[in-house]
Amino acid sequence: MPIKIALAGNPNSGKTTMFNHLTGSTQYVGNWPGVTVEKKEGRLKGDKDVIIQDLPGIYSLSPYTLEEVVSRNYLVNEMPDAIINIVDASNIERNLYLTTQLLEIGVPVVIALNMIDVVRKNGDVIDIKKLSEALGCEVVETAAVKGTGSKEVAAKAVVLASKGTKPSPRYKFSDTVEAALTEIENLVDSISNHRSRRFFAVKLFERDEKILEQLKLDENTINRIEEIISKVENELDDDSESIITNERYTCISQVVEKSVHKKNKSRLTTSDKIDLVLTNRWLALPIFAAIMFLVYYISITTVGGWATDWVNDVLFGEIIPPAVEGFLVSVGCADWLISLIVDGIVGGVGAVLGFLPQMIVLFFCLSILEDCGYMARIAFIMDRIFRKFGLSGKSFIPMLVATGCGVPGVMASRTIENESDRRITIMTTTFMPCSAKLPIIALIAGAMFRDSAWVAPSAYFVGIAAIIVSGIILKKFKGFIGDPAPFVMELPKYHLPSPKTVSIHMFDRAKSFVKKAGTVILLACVGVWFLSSFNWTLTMVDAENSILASLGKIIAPIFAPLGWGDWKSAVSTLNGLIAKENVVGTFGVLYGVEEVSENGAEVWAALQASYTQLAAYSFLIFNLLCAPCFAAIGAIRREMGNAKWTLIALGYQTGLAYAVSLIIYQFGMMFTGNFSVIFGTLAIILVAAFVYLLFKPVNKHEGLTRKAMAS
Amino acid sequence: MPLTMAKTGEPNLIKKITGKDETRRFLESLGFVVGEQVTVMSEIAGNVICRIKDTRIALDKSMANRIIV
Amino acid sequence: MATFIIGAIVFGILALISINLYKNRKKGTTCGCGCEGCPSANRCK
Repeated sequence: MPIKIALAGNPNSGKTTMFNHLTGSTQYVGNWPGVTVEKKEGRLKGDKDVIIQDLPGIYSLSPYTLEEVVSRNYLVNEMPDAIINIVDASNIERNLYLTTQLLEIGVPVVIALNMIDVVRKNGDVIDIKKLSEALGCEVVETAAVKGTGSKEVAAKAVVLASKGTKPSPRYKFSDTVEAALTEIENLVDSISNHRSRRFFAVKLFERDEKILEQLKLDENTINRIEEIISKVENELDDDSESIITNERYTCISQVVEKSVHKKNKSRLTTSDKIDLVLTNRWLALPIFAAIMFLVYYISITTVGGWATDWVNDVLFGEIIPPAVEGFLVSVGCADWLISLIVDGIVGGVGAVLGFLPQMIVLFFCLSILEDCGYMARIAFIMDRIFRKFGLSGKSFIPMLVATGCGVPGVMASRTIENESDRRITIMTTTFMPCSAKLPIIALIAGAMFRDSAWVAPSAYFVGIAAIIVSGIILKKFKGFIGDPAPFVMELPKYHLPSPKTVSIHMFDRAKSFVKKAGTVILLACVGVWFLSSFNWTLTMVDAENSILASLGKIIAPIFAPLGWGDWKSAVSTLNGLIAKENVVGTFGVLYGVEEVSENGAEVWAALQASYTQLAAYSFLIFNLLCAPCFAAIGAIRREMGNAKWTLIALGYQTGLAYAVSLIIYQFGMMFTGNFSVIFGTLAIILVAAFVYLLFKPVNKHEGLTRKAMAS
Repeated sequence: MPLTMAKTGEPNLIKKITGKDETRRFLESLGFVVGEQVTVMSEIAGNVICRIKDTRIALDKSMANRIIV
Repeated sequence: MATFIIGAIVFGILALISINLYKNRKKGTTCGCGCEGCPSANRCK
């Protein structure tokens, strides 16, 4: 039997960092609360018989949030062999609140006093020996980010787990409460000899419904317990839950008083001073906009752009294709195989890989912003805007995750308790430009809008705007009406980004990008090459007469009103459903085939020649907002739980993308004096419809009666 | 008065926490208990960032209104 | 001859990629979204 050790602690206290360190895995670490939604398992490095489990961060064992339910069920019902309780030493009082509850479960506990380096830097002193005595369990100082102490904690936990030593806290609740708890312990047979009897007694005292249900007590016992509780409640003139809470905090402050010596209690920390500016009432949003603009400007237009130019023009333009082709010709390969390798594989995959430098720079910037603690503040800043149309800032967390990949973004929406909020979040979260859409943005910004600073950042802001507009509009429909969920979030302290976290994050993204290019994208490119090189009788032809062209020409007219009614764009967009990078990969193959054996730079030149800037921007916006890739669609399907809502989501996304692109293109045409009677009018009608939906008052009454009728 | 009306930067003692049981319980587990010192660090349209027990917690207006100081 | 050898290598690699992709999907280690490191990779099916 392997030993199971659970990592438990407050959100953002460093559990996942320690988990990664102990197991050698590279799980996603985010510097905001709530990154880990489900428990994760891994084996301890160096001892394969030990399973380490990373639990979602929780503040207490009362099931208020989904994370708390997951963690509590696991800790109480499945019982790990030991718990490593990670305590943020820089905020020890609040963190020990959970500790007092974990100690009651009766499973061996080791406390990892994490972020001890921060405490020392502040000049505070924590007496480990006294703390460990008072809590009745082992305490080890750790600094998970630096990796110190993690191994010692794990080693202690393994020893304790095999011994099964229960923690024996020194602190006691007040006599009245202790007496009542003992009475309950003795009264209920099923818990009297249970390892977690203290936990059950406290929960029964708190009238915890889930525990009452679980224990299946008879009427008589329930009445007896009720008597005990009411007696204490009358005596202390408070409800039982608050009594326990107060007892806990009282004990904690006694423990802390003895063992923690704070240098200076209430001073304005550097973190607070930074917050005075960054979360300032007037400056917060402009600063956010400026930072995001800068991030996209640096990574796509300037630094990353230069690197990409080199990769695209030189590496995948002048060096690799001619070399490969030269080799293949010299050994006497058949023409079709040369075309497959040079145009299909090198052309398609190369087109996508060319954008790797920009992606690395972008994720370098984003992970710095995240790791230093700024991104968590954005949720707070956005809450004010989101709340105006009935979403809470909590919905912004999935959107932040979605800038990496839409799939975990959609899944992160699970922490939103409010059903209608969750649905809107799932539907809109993929509007954020994910890493796979980055090549599209970079391609359009780079190839079509040379030297323009605004195109790449605009993609990010169009995403946010689409979310806000969707929120306002959707909240006016039946099925979405409802008050926003309350927003409560702990804000991490600002700190210098750790090179390790930033590099892991960056490297992970780059790795999966390359991996994806080498698998899904590669296969799709070969498919595109085949379909675009042969006709229905399987003879090699020009792309214009190929199978793909004949199929593409059927659907292309749909996109004509958006300004890009040629079959190549239509096919690329459709191919983007497999993976968004495919949009670029497909262009690479299609324009490459046409330009046979020319260098890569000419591929983009050919692209430039076949688009106007207006059409290109409309194309970019459509691909940014339309239905996401199949992987994300699958995630939407799982999180929505049924096909109807999945279809609504996809329909809405594609419909919105079409409408917005149409408006952009047709209005653009109008300003250049090319008014199309049918589609121009349609665009005007669409704008009017948007305005109407945006400013239409919410009919709460109607929504409620409809809801009542439905139920 | 509710926390939303407290002056920025001034420490206050929590007098009472109102609201539904489960919300109150959640606030309590975050450290918002009667008698504890809380300081509003910044306020935007009723949403506040406050400091309690050495942590910074962001609360929306409806939550902040439940905390009476 | 060269066509045959290089063709075999290319198609061999393609087949290998497809098989691996299919296997990984069945095992649930990737959904093809490329985000192995994400918090939900083990749920990608």
